[in-house]
Amino acid sequence: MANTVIGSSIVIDGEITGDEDLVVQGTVKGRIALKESLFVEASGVVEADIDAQNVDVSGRVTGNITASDKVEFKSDCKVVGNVESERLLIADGSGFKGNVKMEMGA
Amino acid sequence: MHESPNTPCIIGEGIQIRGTLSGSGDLIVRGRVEGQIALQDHLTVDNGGVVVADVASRSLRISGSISGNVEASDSVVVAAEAVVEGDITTHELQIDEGATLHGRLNMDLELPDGIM
Repeated sequence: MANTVIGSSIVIDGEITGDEDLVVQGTVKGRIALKESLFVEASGVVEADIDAQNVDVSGRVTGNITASDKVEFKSDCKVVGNVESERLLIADGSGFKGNVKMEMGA
Repeated sequence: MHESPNTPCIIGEGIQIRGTLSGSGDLIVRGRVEGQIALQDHLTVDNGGVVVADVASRSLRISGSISGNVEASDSVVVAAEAVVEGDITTHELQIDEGATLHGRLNMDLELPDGIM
């Protein structure tokens, strides 16, 4: 269970950086840079460029997503932005608009 | 992960936030927040938490460190390990032995006639 939770009634406008998991149930605008995993839950709204190891979206994301490991779009999520990741999973029912760039192993 | 109104928002030790943090619900800071905090409910700055921001909330408990002005409509508790650099404006104030404070304390209170 992640240590840090941005609750549903919280709004952050700015930059979040860190080296632990982050769960967003509220609203984050700006930039997110994590060494670990980001979870945007169903109530979460992220209007930010995201840089993390894993990104797991059930809510809404507007911004570019860069993940060093994996990006997962869960059912009913809405994502607008470009995705750059080694692995990408898109569940049935996801909404996604953007470009995908996956690094092929050399 | 379940969401209930009682689940406080937590900024963990490994997290830094730079910007404006606002909203309702309780908030616990164990990491670092720079910028501004405007909260309708209770803010806790835990031991190890660092806040470099002006803070406005209903009530506030400080065990970590705050650089910035603090305004709480209800109460402020400055615990023993706390370090506060800035002015505190509140209604009820508790300062524990061992706390470090640099700044002014502004409290709304009715003084009896003849004083000041």
